[in-house]
Amino acid sequence: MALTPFTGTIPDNLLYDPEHDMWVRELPGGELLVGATAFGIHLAGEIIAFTSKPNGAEVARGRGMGTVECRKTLLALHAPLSFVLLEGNEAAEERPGRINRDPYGDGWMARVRPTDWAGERGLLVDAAAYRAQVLKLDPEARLD
Amino acid sequence: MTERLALLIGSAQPEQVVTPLVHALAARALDAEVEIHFAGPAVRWLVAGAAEAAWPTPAREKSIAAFLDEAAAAGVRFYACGMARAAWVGAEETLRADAGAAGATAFVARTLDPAWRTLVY
Repeated sequence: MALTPFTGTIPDNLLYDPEHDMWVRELPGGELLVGATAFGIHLAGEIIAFTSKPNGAEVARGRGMGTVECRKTLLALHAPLSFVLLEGNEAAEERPGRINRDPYGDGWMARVRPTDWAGERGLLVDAAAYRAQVLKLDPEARLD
Repeated sequence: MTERLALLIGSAQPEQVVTPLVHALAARALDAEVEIHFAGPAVRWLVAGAAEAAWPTPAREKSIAAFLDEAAAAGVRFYACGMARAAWVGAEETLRADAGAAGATAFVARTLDPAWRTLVY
């Protein structure tokens, strides 16, 4: 069954991992917030469960930082950068609907401390580049 | 966190084989090394073509073969128990190309090895 075209938001104030459809937000004090993009969620389907790796886990870029579950499959969440996981979003684990409804807000997935921010920041892209990537994959996408 | 997980599946019932396959997928998503040992009648899930016609739900949305393929694509390794194969797989039948062979002792050895965790379904 073909997916319907994506309709959603790609906020300007975030960095993106276009390979894994994850976003990164800089926080004061050198910490980062990480989550899945609305486009990534669109590709996965409605998320009915989210599980983060345990707090304190050291995760290398591209490795698993947790999982999301949809009706008929389970998907790995790939870390967009290397980090120490400070806090998984327990509220989103208890109510995964938050991820579907507000992926860039209440649906964040992990608060982290990067371990190679200087070296890996350049591997992420800005919103304009990510929008271009989304439109390349889904030419009929409507981006708010 | 332990990084190696071995699962044992013994059931040939379609509705009972999906949970371990999804658990294997979850463990791979957390970067664990994962292997599944198919014992007893469950070894038939590894017979080429057998899982294509088996469905875990009446709605038939996703076959057992699709779950197996998903786990294999994620890096889960499959092993057919030798005794089970002798008992449940015909001489003219072949196993999936990605299925390896492991005796019953191989799974017991995993349970005795502190580097591995095991789950039995």
